[in-house]
Amino acid sequence: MIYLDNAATSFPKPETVYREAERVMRECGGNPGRGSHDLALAAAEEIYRCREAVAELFDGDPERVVLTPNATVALNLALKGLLRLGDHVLTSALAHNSVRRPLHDLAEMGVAVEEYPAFPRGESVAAVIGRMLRPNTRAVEVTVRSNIVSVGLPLYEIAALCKRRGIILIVDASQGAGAMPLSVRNLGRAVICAPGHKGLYGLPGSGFALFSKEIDPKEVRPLLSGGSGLRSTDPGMPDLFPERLEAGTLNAPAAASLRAGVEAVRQIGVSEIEHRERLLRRRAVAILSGMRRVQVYLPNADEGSIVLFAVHGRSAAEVGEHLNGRGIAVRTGLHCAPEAHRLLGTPEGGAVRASFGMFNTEAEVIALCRAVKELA
Amino acid sequence: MTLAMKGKRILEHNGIAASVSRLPPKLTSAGCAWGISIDCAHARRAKEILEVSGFSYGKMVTADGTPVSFEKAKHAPTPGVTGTPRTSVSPKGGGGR
Repeated sequence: MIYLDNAATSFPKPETVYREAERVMRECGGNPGRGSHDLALAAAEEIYRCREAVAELFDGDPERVVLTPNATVALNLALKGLLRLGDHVLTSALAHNSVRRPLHDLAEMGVAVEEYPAFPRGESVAAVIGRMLRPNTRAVEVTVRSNIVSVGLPLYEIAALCKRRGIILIVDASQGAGAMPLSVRNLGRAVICAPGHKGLYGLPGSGFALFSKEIDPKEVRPLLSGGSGLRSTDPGMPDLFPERLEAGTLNAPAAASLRAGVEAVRQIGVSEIEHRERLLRRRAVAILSGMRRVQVYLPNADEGSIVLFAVHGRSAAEVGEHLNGRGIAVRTGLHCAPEAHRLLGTPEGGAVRASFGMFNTEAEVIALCRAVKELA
Repeated sequence: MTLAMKGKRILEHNGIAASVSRLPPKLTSAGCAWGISIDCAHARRAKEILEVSGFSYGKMVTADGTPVSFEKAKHAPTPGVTGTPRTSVSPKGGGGR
C-alpha cells in the first residue's frame, strides 16, 4: 500500500520504534512510578527517557513534559486546565476539533471564545490579535500548521505579543512537531501540545503537553484525578509537574516508542524531513494542478506536507475509494476541521487529503497522480 | 518520581551512581514518596552537585532516616554510628516533608 495519510498517523515507523516498544513490553512490564521493584523502576526509567528526548527536541525541561495518549488529551488538558469562568480566549478557523470542541465545552461554562482571522487582508495575524485582546484574555490558541492545507500561523510573532501581556499561548503542534523547528524556550507562558504518533513517529497512544518554565503547575487544574504514585494520602492531585496532570498508569511501551521516534527524527534532522516532505508536496501539486478537472486548494501554500484537492464531478469519498482500490491510502471528508474547510470553500462532502511523511518517495507521488488522472 | 529521576540523572552525569527508591514512611507526610539513593561516601559531593545544578531537594538522610551531618563525615566511621551504607535524598515536593 502507498500510505499518504501521515497527517492522521505516520506509517510506517522506523524499525527502532517497533523494537523499543516490544523490548519495553517484554522487559519493563512493571507499572512506572507505582512500585519500587526492578520491573517498575525499569518502566519508570523508560518514561523518564521519553521525557528527556521530548524535552531536548523542544528545548524544554523533562519534568514539564506531561505524557498523554495523544494530542487531543494534551489539548483538553491545557485548555480545560488553564481557562476559567469569565476568561476570554482566542482561536482561529484553522483549529481542529480537538481544540474547537473543548472550547465549545468551555464556552458553555462561561468562557468567552472568539475567533481571529487566519488570513487577514493587509495586516499581520499578530496585529489583528493585538486588537482583539481584552483585559480578561487569558490565552491565545495557535495551530502551528493546518491539518488540511500546508499553511501555518506565525507562532513566534504571536508569542512575542502574548509574552508582553502575560497571556498564555496554547500551541497545537499536531502537524508541526517533528516537521518544523519548534522551541518552547522563548514562548513565554506557553504549552506545546502534540501527538507522538504523527511527525514524531511514535506509536498511537503517545502524545504530550510540554509546559514552559513560566507556568506554575498549580495554575493548571487537573483534567483527570486518580492515582499518581505520589503523596497518596493527599485528597487532591500533587502540586507539581508532571504528576499533577498524569493520573493513572502511563503507557511505558508507547513512551519508549515516542523516544525512539524522536531519536530517529533527530538523526535525520527536522529541517531535512521538512525539506523532503516539501519537495514531495510540490511535485504532487505541480502534477495535480495540471489536470483540468482537479482543484488543488491553496497550491502555493508551502508550509507542510499536505495536498488538499477535489475532482470535479466526483465526491471526495468516491475519489478516496478509487485510490484505495489502487492501493493508495488518503483521507477524505472534513478531516475534523469543518471551519477550515468552510474557509477554503471545499465541497459539501469535503475534499481529498494526501499527506506525505519521511518514508514517502517521488514514485509514490507519481502513482497517486496517475490514479487521480483515471478519474479526472 | 519524576523529580527523583531528574536528580538521579544529574548525579549520574557527574559520576555518582544513584538509584531511585521509595522513601521510608517516617520520612513522608502524605504516603508514597520517592528519593534518590547513593553511597554515603559521595554524600558531600552529591550535595554540592545538586545545589550547583539548582536541583531542589528536601532532606539528605541515611537509610534509617538519620539526617546526614557533614561534620561527622569528616571523621572515620565508628561502629554503630555509620553502619548503613546508603544515603537518601528526597526531592522537594516529592512528599518527604
